[in-house]
Amino acid sequence: MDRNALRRLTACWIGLVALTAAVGFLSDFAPRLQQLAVAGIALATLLKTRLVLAHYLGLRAAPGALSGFVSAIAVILVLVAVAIGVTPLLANAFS
Amino acid sequence: MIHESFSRQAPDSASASAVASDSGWGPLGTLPGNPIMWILIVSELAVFGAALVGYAGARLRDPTGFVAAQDSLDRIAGAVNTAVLLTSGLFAALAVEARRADRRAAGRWLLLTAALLGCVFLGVKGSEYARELAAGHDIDSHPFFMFYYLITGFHALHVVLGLIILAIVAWFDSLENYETGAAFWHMVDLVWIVVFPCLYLMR
Repeated sequence: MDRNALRRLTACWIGLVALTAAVGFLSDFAPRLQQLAVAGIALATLLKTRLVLAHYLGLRAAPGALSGFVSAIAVILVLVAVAIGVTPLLANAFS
Repeated sequence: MIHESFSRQAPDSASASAVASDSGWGPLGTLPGNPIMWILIVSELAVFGAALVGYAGARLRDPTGFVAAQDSLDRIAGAVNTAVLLTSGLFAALAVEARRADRRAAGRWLLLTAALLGCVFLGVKGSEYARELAAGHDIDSHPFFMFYYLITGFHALHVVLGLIILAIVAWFDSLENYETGAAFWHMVDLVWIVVFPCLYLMR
């Protein structure tokens, strides 16, 4: 097995697990710093999806496809994050 | 194409996708594995994306009720399952690398390990369902749980399908089949990476 590939995939896995821990840590702040926590979770999740797409799925060899997938997932995450994080803020501002 | 894909004598190369790139698939031909799998992956991501956007829309009608329902979920179990799937994905990716290096036995063992971790995921998910149901949280108890059971249940079905695909790939072990099976498995991984924070953590 290619040692570089082994090293790259292992580093990717460490990054993914570290981001998972970071996301869990951020969620603990959700009740107090809701908007910030939701934005942080969405950003960390997007980074994780990019790592999986680029290294596990091998899309770093196809940058156009990588950008397309990451953009589509970013749209989904932004819609969910806005619905959860920003909408209550707007509701409070206008009530 | 399907016959070639499952042939045990399929030609191997540094990148099996190079074969596909010459067969009129356009940009899909440059991606690893069988292009049909990539069409499936795009469709599956669209379905899960639509479900999550639907969830976000429904949540706007009752944010307090959704937060209360979310708080009953076991976030630790969700995080453990995330780590399990990420590790499984690592083994699937390593299996492709082993097959690429023509180490067939190592590739099979790595695929088996990836599949075993998939079974662990299903076990943890099953125990989560049992806990929620014991607490009276079924699919009709709140709109949150309807989305929770539909999205995670549909994902669990994909895990089962992925396990079957990995078993087929371990038997029909051409490089293209390895890349195709691993691509599906990573899609399952990718969907969970997005579903977990949306359902469990963002609140």
